[in-house]
Amino acid sequence: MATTTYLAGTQFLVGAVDLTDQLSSATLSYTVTPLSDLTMASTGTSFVAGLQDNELTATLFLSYVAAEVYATLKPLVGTVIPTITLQPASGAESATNPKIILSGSFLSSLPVINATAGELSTVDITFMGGVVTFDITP
Amino acid sequence: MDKYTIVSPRVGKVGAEFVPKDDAEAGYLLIGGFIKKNSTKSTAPRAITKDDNAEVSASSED
Repeated sequence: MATTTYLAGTQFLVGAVDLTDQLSSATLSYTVTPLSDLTMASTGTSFVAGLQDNELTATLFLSYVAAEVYATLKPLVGTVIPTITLQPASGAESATNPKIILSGSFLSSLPVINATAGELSTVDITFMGGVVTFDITP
Repeated sequence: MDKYTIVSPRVGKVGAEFVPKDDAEAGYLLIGGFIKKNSTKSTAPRAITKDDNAEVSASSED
């Protein structure tokens, strides 16, 4: 079966800070903007690759103590984050466990409180833009 | 160059030296409580001595 089950293990680092143990979910859409190169000679629509237009959304459990999620993300709002690293599982990089690096993305907003009685607090954040590279070298 | 020690396991082994990529990263991690700056030799000015006070008094009389 061609499925991947995430029981645990997806690595998530914002810069040098490892937030793996606070990550509930993450989705990185690796997107290349299609540019139309349609001409009068074309017989159908066609495209060439434009710029990358990536987006990473993540859900994290929220904690306000030192060296936790709030302390990590709050100073980054309104800034370009040099690197965010994701990896499907812990262990060495390989073709089947690539390290995915999002460089130069922008964090526009952070829900600084998301409180519901009787529930663990989480925040949904979105990193916009940047360039995705894949590292499969152990 | 300033040296830093890791105090949060989120950035590495606690107690190990942390080498930031740049000042911005170091500042950000310091504020967040992930690393601490190693103490350096004090650069406080030399304490005023009795002789120094005598010199000041002498010069003010001129």
